[in-house]
Amino acid sequence: MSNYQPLDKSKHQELKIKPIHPCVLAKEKGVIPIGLRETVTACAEYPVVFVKDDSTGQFRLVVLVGLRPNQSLFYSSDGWLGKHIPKSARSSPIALTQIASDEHSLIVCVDTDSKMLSKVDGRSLFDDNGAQSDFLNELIADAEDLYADHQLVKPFCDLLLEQNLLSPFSLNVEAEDGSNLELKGLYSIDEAKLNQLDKDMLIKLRDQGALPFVYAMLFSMARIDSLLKRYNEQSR
Amino acid sequence: MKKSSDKINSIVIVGGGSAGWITACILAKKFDCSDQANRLQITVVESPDIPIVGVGEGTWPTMRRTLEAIGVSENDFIRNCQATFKQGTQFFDWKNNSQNSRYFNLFSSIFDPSDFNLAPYWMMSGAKEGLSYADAVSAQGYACENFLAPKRITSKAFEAHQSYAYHLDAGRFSEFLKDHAIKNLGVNLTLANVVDAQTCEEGYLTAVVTREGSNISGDFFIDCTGFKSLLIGEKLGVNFNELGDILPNDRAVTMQVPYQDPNQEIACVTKSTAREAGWIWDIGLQTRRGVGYVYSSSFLTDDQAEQTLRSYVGLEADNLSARVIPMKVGRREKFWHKNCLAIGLSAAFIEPLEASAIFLIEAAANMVSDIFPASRSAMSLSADMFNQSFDFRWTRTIDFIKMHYVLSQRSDTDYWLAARELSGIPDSLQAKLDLWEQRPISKYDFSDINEPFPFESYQYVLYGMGRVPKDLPATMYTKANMANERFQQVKRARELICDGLPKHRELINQVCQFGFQSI
Ligand SMILES: Cc1cc2nc3c(=O)[nH]c(=O)nc-3n(C[C@H](O)[C@H](O)[C@H](O)COP(=O)(O)OP(=O)(O)OC[C@H]3O[C@@H](n4cnc5c(N)ncnc54)[C@H](O)[C@@H]3O)c2cc1C
Repeated sequence: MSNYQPLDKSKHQELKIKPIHPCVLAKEKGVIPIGLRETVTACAEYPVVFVKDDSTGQFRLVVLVGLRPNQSLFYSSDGWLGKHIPKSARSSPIALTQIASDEHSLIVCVDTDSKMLSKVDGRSLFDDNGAQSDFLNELIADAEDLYADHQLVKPFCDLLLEQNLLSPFSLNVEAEDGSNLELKGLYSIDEAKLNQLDKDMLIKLRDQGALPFVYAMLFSMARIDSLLKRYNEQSR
Repeated sequence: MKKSSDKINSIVIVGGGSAGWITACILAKKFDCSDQANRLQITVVESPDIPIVGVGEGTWPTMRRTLEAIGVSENDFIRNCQATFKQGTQFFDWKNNSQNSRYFNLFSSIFDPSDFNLAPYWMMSGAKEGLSYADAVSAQGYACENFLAPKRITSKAFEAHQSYAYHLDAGRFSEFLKDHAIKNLGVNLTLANVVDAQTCEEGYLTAVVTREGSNISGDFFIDCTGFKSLLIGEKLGVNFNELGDILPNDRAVTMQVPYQDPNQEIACVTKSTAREAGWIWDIGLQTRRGVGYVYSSSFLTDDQAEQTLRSYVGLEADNLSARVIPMKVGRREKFWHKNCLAIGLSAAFIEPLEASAIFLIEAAANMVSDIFPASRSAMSLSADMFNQSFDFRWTRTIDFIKMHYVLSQRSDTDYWLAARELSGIPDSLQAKLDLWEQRPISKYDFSDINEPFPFESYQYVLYGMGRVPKDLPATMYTKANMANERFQQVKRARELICDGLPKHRELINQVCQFGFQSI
């Protein structure tokens, strides 16, 4: 579990961060949320789809890293087996959160339950004078980037829904070992509907900068075969 | 050559309660009135002074289809109408007046009984071990007992894991539909009090006359004026046939009971509790419950009824006011006469047990939209068809409601004894009951497409009340193995389904905050 607390110099001055496996968060996750711009890199390696969040029903953009619920074909104790490590899978105890009362201000938080925290070894968050270390600044910049990229997902998704371009699908493949691999509740771009879209709508998608991501998602469907290949190799 | 006035170009709906606005929405959507080029105009005339009846909070699953068809979002509907989910009705103390007499009439069973009827096998096995019919065939009773919702926030709008209808706030519902009809469906609204109507020589209505001075003319008129029946009754004089000798309940006393705690569980069924001279409904909305005692004034005074209702609610009733609503129980001899059609309370009303009124409004609006005559010359054929259909639907509705009383073994008051007196039981009902003493209910008992209540509802009520045929010849029911397998599957399905379902209150909160997706 995690326990995010606002980062506070007086409370957290002595905290250090141990170098640790960069994808420890992603151990038993079959899907990993990504931001919109990340789609462009992620689509080369993983199927990029939408799934619904269990507790809000809202769409999340994710990469599939397995072919069964909670199965990861990329996690290993030696490290991530893919080239692109989804940003939200890279563990960092630093995250940004919205203040409930004001959706425009963000605060920097630290996960005080994170196994990466230590008072003895690792790199310091604050320097001896109590100022933010360069290391902390880097972590904050990463967190900001992650946050901003995730914020782009909703408008993109709303646009697709408005144009009726998303369709639900289930993934159902048979592996070499005879097992039936199934994932339900996935949503992706409906290519047929995209091809029928009238000109004005297409221009709207282009002007809003959505087209590259639409095509990235479409192309990424070919990665389902790569997942299956990986599964077959791992289960041989 | 036909005169141009023969064509039907304008519809005037008088009355802005649930009936008026449901009808306006269904017709406007069907005839695409938001399209400027469309020549068919729909106008609703609503009195700014006469309030709507303001009750009618229970619906049937047909409402899902209706809302989807008229193009409203389920999220908006739930947020604006205080709406909650309804998975059926739970009856208390109807069988007899002992403490443990309760049963469910649910909206969905795991297996479709018209495909393979489990009822006889339940009678020969489960029933003997005390398993209720509802639990033998459905997971919904269990869900209701545990305040579970019928779906999850990840389900799409209007889609159900388990079939459901809604509970809603009647006042807000009319406002919500009104808004949608005017903004999105191209319906016109006139606020005025209708005092009279004009007719032509052949007795067709030509215009309604308002107190405010203007006449509103039209080619087709729909009377949705509630118990008043301004057009079909007062103006056109179509007879009203009372039904008090079959269903004696003619009054209701109602109360709105706010939840004490905003996190209080919300019941996912309508509760119906039998009392000395009638029954009490109890419906959970988002911030309050709506409760009401429906009773017969021949057996109970208003004060007595209010006292009973207050004691049912308990301490929470102390500072709340109660409202008495007189009910006109009966039906018009005809619902469609000349160019005037009555929908809603103006057409017919029987006591609200099993919430039949709103779904018959939906059915009436759907039917008229489908057989709508393009010209006056086609009017009388459509009218005949409609009248026949709704004569049948009301007859069956009366039978079904009356059945609840006939099956009761309560004998604690004169009211309950009178409810079973033979003279008040329609022959059509008695014939069925006699048949069902001999054999299980069959899907062939309900082969008419206009049948208002489904086969399953009769099973739930009859078997919930403990009425099963005396002996079933085992030689006729030879698929016991298959049945047992299905009973096991129902049990497993119950665990599987109910495991993943959120609490009713939790789902309502999620819908209010996030909402269902449309896919
Ligand atoms: C106690 C009780 C409980 C009920 N419970 C249920 C239930 O659980 N489920 C269910 O399906 N149904 C229920 N019903 C029935 C349901 O309430 C009605 O069928 C439904 O509300 C439709 O009412 P209506 O629109 O016909 O009439 P009303 O709501 O009475 O509306 C009449 C409209 O006509 C207008 N009007 C009247 N006179 C004039 C005039 N002269 N000029 C202009 N306008 C005029 C009024 O302003 C109003 O807008 C219940 C009814 C009662 C009495």
